[in-house]
Amino acid sequence: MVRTDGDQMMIKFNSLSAKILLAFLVATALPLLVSSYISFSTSQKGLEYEIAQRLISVADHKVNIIEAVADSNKTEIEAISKTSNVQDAMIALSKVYRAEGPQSDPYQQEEKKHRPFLRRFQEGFDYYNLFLTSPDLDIVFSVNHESDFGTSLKFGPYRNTSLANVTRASIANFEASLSIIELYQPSQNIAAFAAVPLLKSGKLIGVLAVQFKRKALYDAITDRTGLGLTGETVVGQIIRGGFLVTAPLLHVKNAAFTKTFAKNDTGKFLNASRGETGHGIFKDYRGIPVLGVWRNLPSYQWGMVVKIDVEEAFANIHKLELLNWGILIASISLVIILSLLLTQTILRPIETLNVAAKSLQAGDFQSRVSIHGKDEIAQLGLAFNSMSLEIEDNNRVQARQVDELSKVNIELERFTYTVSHDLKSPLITIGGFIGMIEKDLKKDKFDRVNSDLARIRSAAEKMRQLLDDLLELSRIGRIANPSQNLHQGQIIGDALERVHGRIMSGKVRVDVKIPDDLPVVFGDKPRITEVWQNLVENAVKFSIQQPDPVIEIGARVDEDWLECYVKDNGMGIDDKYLKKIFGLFERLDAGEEGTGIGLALVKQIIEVHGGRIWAESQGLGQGTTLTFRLPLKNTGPDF
Amino acid sequence: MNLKKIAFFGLPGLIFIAALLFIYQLQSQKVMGGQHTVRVGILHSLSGVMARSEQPIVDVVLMAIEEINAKGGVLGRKIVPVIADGKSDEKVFAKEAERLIVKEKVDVVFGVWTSAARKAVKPIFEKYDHLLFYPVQYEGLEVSPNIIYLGAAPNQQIIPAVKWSFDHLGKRMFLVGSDYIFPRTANEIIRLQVQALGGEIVGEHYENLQDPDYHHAVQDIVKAKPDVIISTINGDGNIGFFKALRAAGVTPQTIPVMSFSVSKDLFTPDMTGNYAAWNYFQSLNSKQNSGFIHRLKARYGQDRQASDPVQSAYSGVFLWAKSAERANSTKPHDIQVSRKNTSIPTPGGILNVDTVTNHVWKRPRIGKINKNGEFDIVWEAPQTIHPNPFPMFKSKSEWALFLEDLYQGWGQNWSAQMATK
Repeated sequence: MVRTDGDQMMIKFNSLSAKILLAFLVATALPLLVSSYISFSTSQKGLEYEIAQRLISVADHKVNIIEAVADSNKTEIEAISKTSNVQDAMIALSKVYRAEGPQSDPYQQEEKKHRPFLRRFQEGFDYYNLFLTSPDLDIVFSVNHESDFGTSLKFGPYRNTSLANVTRASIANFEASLSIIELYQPSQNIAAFAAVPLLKSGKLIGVLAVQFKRKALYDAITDRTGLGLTGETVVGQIIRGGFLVTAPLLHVKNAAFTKTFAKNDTGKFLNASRGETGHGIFKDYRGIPVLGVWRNLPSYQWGMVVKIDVEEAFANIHKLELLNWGILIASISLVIILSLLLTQTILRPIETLNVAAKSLQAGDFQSRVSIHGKDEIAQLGLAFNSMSLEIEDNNRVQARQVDELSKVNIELERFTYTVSHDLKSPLITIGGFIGMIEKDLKKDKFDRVNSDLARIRSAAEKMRQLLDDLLELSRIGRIANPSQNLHQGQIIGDALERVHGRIMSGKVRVDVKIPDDLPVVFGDKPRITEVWQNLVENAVKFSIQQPDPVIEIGARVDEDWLECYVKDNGMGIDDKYLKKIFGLFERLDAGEEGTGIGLALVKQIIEVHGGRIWAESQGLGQGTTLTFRLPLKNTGPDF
Repeated sequence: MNLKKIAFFGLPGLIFIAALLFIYQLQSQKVMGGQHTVRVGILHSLSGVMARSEQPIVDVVLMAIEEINAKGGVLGRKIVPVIADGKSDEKVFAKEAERLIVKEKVDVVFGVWTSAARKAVKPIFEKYDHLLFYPVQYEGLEVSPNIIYLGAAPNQQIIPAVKWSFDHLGKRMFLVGSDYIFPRTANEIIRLQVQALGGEIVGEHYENLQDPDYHHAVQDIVKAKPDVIISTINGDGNIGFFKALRAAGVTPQTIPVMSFSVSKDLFTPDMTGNYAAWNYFQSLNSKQNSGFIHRLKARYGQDRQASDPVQSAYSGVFLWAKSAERANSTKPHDIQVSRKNTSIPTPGGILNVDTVTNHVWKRPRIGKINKNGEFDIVWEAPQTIHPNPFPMFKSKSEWALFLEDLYQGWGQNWSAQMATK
């Protein structure tokens, strides 16, 4: 995150954090996404395959059972057909039926003979009914005397029933045959039949047919083993305009032979009826997605769809999917959070640095960053801090130097001006007097020549004095005497000696208050003597106008300093001039004698020795004190 | 982007993509089973007396293979056919069957027409636990886990057709056929059936399959004056037989012939007006059938006819493909398992293999041969019939004895051998 100009937190596409996030997502989330997609789709496909295979085997098993039931029905009836009892009954009943009719007494007697064991077959195999039909297709016997008994399946009212068809088929194909299942009028019920030709000595003597109970037909179909809570088997056949359901449904009551589905139904019934073999996901008759398997049941000419609701079948896949998504979302969130955290730890110090650098750029040289830890970024911060510290120091030094330079510059300007001015006035004087001498010499007047020459000499002398002083000043810092231990009392004595004449002429009283145990300072003796001399001269100069001029000279130790002063009781100095007096050629009164270099020289010497000097005055007429201090631990003047 | 940047982002990207491709490759290899093709054998007579009947079968099997390949093959693998010539000789069939299985390493064989050839190859397919799709109607009395019988069993063609002839053409029958296992067995069944129904077999005549001469047979027929001739003559012999009949003045109006092995490929105008029993006729009216006929004629010319064996052979390839998809394998044994409960819609109706007998459900039909050599359907059974290879006139052991007698009678062959001159 980078703090933008608008102070809004936002991710810039180009920003580091966006790049890091992108890199993290590409490096971590993308492979995670891909691998999780692959693993999920693989396991999903695998699970779907397994589930489908399970349903397929349930469906196949069901087909096998239904076909096996059909097969065993045929085998059963074939076995019955081979018993001589049945063959005898067939021949006998056929004969008496043809001769006398079913209502006749001979038929009744003959029937009574055969009925018990035929009935045993019917009950033993749990058939609904059992028929004997002559080769001419007359029903000559039935266990239950329903309306079909005694009719001809060739010409009678039931010639187009499934019983008639299966009886004909059994003769045509000479084998046990099964009928399709449909409504059988005489029983007022859904019925299926099996029929088998009866042979005796290689001759066709009739047909044995049985009618199955409705329940037995549906047991195998409606068995829901392996189909969970929502699974079921739908069977039916193609009729005009659609598909007729031929067995009970789980979700529709009394559906068998009443419920039809339109041709465009999505339930795959038509596919099954057309003989297709397949499985897939589709919407069933309730409009609910199901996983279904479709098969053809050749024995009944039916299509069969075994199906189970997708929701139930794939419940585990759904769980797996949820789990997968959960893990994926959690992982990606973790990646994002981690990358954001990482970004924060990297970027926050960088941003702090950025802000600090900008404020440094704007001129705030005190700009610093706080350092946490020892990592690369902390080191960068340290480097920044030290760099900014250095810049600050350099700047300070530079500023001082500039300040000093400009002061020097001003001083130099003034110096130049003063020098040229001060040097000019003696020259003008000299020039003027030379002119006067020339006039006098032309007029041969010699009386004033000597005095004029004296003035010229005096002016030249003054100029020489001025140039000497200037030379002296310029020497300070260039020409140094070897340093030595200085006893101030001795030096003051030397200084007073030099200005003795002036003191005497000015009748100035000098009080020297120097303690005997005053420590020595290390320094340039001639210069310091010069300082004292100048200060005393100065004090004399400013105090001689007083009726009772007094100069006080003192020195004392103030901590690491030796503090010395020269105090007079002269005219004093106005506050605003207190600092100026140390300037070059600064003279408070232009008429005063002196070159105006003295105090500047003093200041220069003191400062060269590491000390400082200042002036104090209580005001005009109150006298002046000039104090300077020198470091006791001085190692000598610093030129 | 400079080169460095491309390398920085490109290299991991390439590695990532390579890894994905590797995973995908692993997955798809599993599906492909490592192979890219599946070899199938086609074993039929391309020469000899059966070639005219069997060549169209080879053609239609190739057409089915091409159609399946055009839709991506079986399990993503292209089918490669390997054709072998049985030369109308059962011994060559046996040799070629073994060569296809052992040398050519085919996963399945589509082929064989005559029962003699089938009897000869059956032990080979059982020995190698292999798989044969047999496209022709036959005499029954046989069940093998290694053969899918795509043609009719007796109860699906012969018996209903004889019953129809009995009801509609007459009760006095003359049986004529080629001298090999199918006609002999078929006629035994017919004899028993006619006997049960109370009819009469007035004569019986057989001619060698290889070089038949039916003049004697026709003489016998003219003498016996049957109501109907039941013909189990196979191959080119049919042409000579009908020619001899017509020469002798026998017409469908006087004595109609009910044939079990004539198709348009053998058609001569002498056959017009007679009957043929099949489960499939080209004239069947269904969308799927008309599409099939259209493709067949587009490929092999307008004269090409779709006979019952042609249709069965064509559908058999699709049944095999569907079973392979269900088994997720083309191994013979896996197909033997998966073809159970596998049904497909075909030009001839629903193709449903009976789990117990390996025979398919069939609907018997009778066609009358018109002057174009096409069949006008005059009768069809009300529903498809469950295959029953063992007619109830004898028990299985009695039928086995019957076959053994024939086999021994022909000097341990399944057909009468040409007398060596």
